[in-house]
Amino acid sequence: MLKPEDVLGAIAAARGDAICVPTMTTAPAWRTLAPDDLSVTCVGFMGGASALGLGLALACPDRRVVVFDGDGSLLMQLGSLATIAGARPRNLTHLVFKNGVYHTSGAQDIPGGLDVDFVVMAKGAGYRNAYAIKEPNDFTRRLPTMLTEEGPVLVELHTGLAEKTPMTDRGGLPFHRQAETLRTKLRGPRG
Amino acid sequence: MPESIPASLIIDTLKDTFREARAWLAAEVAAPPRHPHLGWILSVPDTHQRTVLAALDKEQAIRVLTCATEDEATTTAAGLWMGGEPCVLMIQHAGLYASVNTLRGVAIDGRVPVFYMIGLLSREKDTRWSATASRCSIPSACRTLGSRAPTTCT
Repeated sequence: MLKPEDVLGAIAAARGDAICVPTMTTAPAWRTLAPDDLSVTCVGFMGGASALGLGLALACPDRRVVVFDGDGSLLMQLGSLATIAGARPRNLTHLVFKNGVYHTSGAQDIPGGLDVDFVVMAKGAGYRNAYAIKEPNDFTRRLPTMLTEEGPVLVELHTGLAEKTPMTDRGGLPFHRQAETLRTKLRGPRG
Repeated sequence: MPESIPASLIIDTLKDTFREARAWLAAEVAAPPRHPHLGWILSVPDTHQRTVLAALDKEQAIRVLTCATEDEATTTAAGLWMGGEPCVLMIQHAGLYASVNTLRGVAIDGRVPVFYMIGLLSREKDTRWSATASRCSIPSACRTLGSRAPTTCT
């Protein structure tokens, strides 16, 4: 079982200038780990992280885009798997933090719970690659590859519950300010 | 059946719009992105726009991405906008209703400018350019949702 904060910390250290799209329970920890960088949180329209990442990946084909999706969130726009597969963004890494519950709203089970297999779904939709990771050592070993391999790639991360949720740790910029800030940064010279 | 705007005119207008958007970006950015296309159409196919979609299939300058839902199309448009890419959504009127929360989160609260081209359920020749006179509920719904310029064209 992976700890979400450890996963995010490792990604923060390894991502380079990748654009990151957290949502729901990955948002509070990511705010702390990467406060002033190329990120935009999908907040206010649950389920939109994957399609938001797709748009960024298509607009910025020379950068890696990493989506930190949730299992409950992805179920809300499951069709995005087919849309992403059809668009074939080579630079998109789609991480699904799988804990089997809607953690933010009180940890109610998602439909199907932990039996839902996003790897099979992504492969069936046409992702170039999809696999699950359950152990920290396996995650550490495969992280460099998942941040560079040809996409679209989906990685199902079997995690415990995050320490914080958007309900227990409110804050961060509203979406419109994050979006404008990221747009401004992407228009500037690449650092 | 009322007469329709020719598909070629719509596509030429889209090209002009995309060129203008890119010119704005080029004026503001030291090194604007260079893409082989002018802009994007994000489509959830609509019966009333089928002739335009068929014509777009032959276009090299405009990239068309078919989305599974209007939610995805709206959110993908936000990502493209952040990356400096011009895009237009082509959806049906029922799809706008289906994606109202995403519209609110992205285009209203999120303040991302999203250009929707929506096929009306029933086209009305006599209400050209008049959002208030249309019998279709979409124009008034758009005003309620905060759209700045709902416009009907036949």
